[in-house]
Amino acid sequence: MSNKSLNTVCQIASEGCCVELGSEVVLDDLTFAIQDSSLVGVVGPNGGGKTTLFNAILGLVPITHGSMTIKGLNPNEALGMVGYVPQKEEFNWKFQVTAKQVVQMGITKNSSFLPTTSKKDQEIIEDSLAKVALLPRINDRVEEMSGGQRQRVLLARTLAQGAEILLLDESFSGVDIGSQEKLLDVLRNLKNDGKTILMATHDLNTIGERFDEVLCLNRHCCAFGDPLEVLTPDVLTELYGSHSSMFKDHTLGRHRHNYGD
Amino acid sequence: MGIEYIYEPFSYGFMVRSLIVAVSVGVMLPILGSYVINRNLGFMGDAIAHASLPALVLGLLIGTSVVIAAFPAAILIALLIGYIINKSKIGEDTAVGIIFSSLFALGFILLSIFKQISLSVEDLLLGQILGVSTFDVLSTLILAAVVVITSVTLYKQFLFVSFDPIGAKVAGLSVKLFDNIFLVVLALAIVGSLQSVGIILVLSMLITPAAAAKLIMKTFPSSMIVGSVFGVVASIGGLYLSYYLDFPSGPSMALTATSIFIIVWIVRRAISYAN
Repeated sequence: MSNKSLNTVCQIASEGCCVELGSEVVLDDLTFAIQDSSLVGVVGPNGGGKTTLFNAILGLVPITHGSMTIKGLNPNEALGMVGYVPQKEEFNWKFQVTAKQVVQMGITKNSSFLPTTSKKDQEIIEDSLAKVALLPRINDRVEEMSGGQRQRVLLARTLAQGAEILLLDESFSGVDIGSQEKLLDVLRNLKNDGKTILMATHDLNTIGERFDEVLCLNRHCCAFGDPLEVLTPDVLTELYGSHSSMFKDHTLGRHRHNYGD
Repeated sequence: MGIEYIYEPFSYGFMVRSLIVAVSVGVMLPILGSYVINRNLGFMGDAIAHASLPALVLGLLIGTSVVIAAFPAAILIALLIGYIINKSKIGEDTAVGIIFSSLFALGFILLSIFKQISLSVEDLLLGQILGVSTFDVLSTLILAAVVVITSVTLYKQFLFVSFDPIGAKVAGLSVKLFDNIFLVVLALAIVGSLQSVGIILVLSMLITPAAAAKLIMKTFPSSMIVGSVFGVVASIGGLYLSYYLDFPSGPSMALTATSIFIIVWIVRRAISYAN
């Protein structure tokens, strides 16, 4: 568990946060604090509450006990400060939208009631796409892009929105290594610009080299901190239960097992 | 045979009125239809049309215009359906199906109770554009203006909540509000088109031109515009068929729209083979 002080206003501060969906406790007594300019990996089994945590930060699910604050505000008051890159299944791809249209959605709330794009909006859109290295593809259809490029377009949308906290839900799944690295380069640049980035991921092998901090989630917070320090065999057992033997002899960055690849 | 076949019908006042209504219907339905086909709302469009029947009957009973009576009903039905989609535990298709079939049935029961109502059921179901009054022309024009202006001014919002409702909510947009506005506008357009296309075939003009446009256009806004062009061609084509062959206008427009769809499909296939 992190010992970071909760006194300073953190980007995200969770104190004893609980979320119940129906009669089920999905998140139990979550306490952690995330500062700005950090790149945090959120790991845990399926059903461990990663998406629910994101929904709680986004204000999409109510918090039953404890508190969750975004820069000192309740999630509902912080709408727009948090950007979300969901999994691709969440979108209606039948709408044949271009990269420009998707990024423009991020500024819809504050833009004029005209279907045209103002000069200022165009600048924001181009600037956001440039930050994810996709400006040349501004007029291309998003559903025709690769998985990694799609994630970057959606990331550009959160940048246009002006979000300081970015949540990415399993952005690496189904994305090849080269594209993962490109996305990671973009995320590192954003982090250096002061953004706080949380990404749900299943890839424990690379977590030490890719993320500054790791949040281990299995209904409760099993560990939070530097991945090289906190991912101990005990934590892995707590996270993955009986399956943890898969990871037992596994040290970060080195593979003792040959999984046949 | 000559060009007079094209303009001769419009020497009659009723044909000019019909033309204005046909063009209005041809423009407004496919604009909304572009959303409908991408959001799988076709069944709901059909439901709104059918569910408006009791309101049409009651309107005739108290002697107001059919269209005036159906507007408030359409708005209520649209909001009710929107509410059901959010709350339904039995599945939205099922809930919408129960409501629309009950209201449609109630409409027919009312018709048989109040025999004094002079109403051609066939015209109601299949459309009779040649009989539109000047008042109908005005109300349809106003409706088309409302639909087009709403679709243009709320284009970005409608697209965002349709493409990615969660993202829209997270970005601070009220998804419920814009979905409800969309449903109300959709209901207005459908009810405003009933006289031309009829309850049963309004769905055709709503989705077929939009679907044909989607076959050949690469982006959403362009398919919306081309869909409207196809819609106007289909409605004017249907008008001619009605005039010369005395077909009901709904089926005439529906089959013209389907012909456009088939032609577009064949041309698209031919081009992709050629390449």
